[in-house]
Amino acid sequence: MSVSRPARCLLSVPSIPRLHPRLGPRTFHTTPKLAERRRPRYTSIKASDPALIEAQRKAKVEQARETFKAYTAEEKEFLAKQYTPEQLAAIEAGEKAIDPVDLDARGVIRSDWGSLTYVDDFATRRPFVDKKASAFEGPVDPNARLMTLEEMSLADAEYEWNIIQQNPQEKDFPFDDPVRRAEARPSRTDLLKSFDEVPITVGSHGPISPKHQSIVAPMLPIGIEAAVDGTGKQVGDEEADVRDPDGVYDLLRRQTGLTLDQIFEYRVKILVQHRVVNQTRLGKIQSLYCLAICGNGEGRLGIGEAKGQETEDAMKNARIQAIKNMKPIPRYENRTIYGEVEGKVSAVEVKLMSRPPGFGLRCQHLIFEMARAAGIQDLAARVPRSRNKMNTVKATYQALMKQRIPDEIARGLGKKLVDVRKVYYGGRV
Amino acid sequence: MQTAIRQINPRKLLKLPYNSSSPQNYLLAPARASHYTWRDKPDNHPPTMSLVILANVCSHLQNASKARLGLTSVPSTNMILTLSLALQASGFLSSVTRGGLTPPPLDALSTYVPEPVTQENISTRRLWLGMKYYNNEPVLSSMGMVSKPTKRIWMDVDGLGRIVKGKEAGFVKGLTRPGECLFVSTDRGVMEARDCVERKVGGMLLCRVL
Repeated sequence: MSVSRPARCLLSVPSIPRLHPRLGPRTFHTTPKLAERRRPRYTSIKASDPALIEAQRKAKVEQARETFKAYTAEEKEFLAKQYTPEQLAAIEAGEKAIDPVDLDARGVIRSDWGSLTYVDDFATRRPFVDKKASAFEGPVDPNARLMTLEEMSLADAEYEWNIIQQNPQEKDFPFDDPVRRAEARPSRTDLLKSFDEVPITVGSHGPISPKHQSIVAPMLPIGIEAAVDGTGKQVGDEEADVRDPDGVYDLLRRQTGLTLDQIFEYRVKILVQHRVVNQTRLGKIQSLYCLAICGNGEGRLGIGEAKGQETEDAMKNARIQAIKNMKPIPRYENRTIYGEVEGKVSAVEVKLMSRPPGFGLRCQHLIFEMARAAGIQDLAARVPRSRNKMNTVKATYQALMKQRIPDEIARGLGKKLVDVRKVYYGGRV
Repeated sequence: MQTAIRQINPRKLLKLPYNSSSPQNYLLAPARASHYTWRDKPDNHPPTMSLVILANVCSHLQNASKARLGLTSVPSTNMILTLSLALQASGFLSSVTRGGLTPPPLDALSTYVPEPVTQENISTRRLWLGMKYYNNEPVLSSMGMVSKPTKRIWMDVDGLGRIVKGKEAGFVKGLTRPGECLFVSTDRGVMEARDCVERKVGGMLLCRVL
């Protein structure tokens, strides 16, 4: 028995209602049960009570007026002695513009955890306490370039000339006197200032002052940050294209700058598609795995993988990933590969072999599709061990990327290398 | 029994003279008869020592490449020396220097004059090979034996010609990868397979290098 509770008669009815935990059947989801007792977020107010609220509001206003009193007639007289009529008018306008209730609510000195240890209204920037203000936030000039040496020296000379004009010196200035020497302009301070003020880049409208330029990346194209985070304005067509009414490729277009024409020209194909299952404690969760390839038919190839609950989503994401992952692959004479290459992913080993013109793509369907997308016309391939579809595609991609270029090998060996085919056919292959 | 064996002289069993100077008996010639060379062999082949050392050298050079070593050492034998020089001529090695157990001075690898090999120092001689790297990749990335210690493979010019063209010859795969080389031990020294075809000599296939 708890010590804090008094002993009661066993037969007496307890005055405190017993706590009945409302235990219903357990749900397997996080949505609150409809049958649960609702707790409103705000205290409920009866219809007859608005007067109470009004009274509370009035009390607030009174308290604010008490704290921030309006100027009395005497005070105004006193102010009139100190300030001009225009200044007085400005003071009065300011007084009128700020609601004392707001001032009472907002104009408090913070004492919470995020508050500063000193009093500051942040009206001025203090270089040792405050972070340096960002140099530039506006659009970047795409034509901006670094000044040439002559332009730089001209800009420097102009800056110095202005200082000399503004601070005329007597003709026989004693430069030898170390004390007077410090007074000479342009001085050491001027030199240090010039680093921040003399422009070193030229844009479409003449030299750009360093104050208005991004030091981090002066040549960055306009709006690239917005395109990357997906919140910015859409590049290209403003209204939805008929060919892509659902905006499937919108984000891709923004991120890559591709047009719909270019995207539809790519050879995209889903090569592998199967269901995968994630076993959780709540049961099996099925989703669809998709592997897509994308090539431009001119030596670029990419692989995209995606998983999703919906078939359409998974396929769409796989296609987009494939487009994003496109990389150039080396091709010999734009028709075949360089020599023999091997790729291995898991138990799948793929061996690709270059072949003479007109040989065709004599290889299994997955490698055939990849070669066709990449723009390879002559190729032979062997997949001697396991033939798992997904790993075959990955191993083929690995092999295509692993090709050794004869020119580079020759440089490594320090040898001169001549392509005999080009010599024999007089460069007409 | 033990004493009996010790008393039997193998030379007496073979009925050979002790100081044989006939070329046919070069294998059993005593050590001091060093004026016999491999040219005295009937088939004019260099002395084919065990290929086990070569196999070790192949693995060692692969490992040195993977570890990105600048200089490494291999045992100093005639076959390894001629092979190393052939590798250098093909551009796989930057330098071949004979030295002792410590590496020769790195700043003078090409001008370094090694001390002469004598009976005293022959056991401590090593070949110091300079490895090459280009574009953050080793120039010599893989090296493997074709002849094995238990199965040597000899090939004539026709077979070598097929291999150089990238075709298979006598269970030996062709040189299909760009930059792949095959080194052959011939009576004119260790040569690259393409040189062998050019000079019309065959020989024992040693190793392929990529």
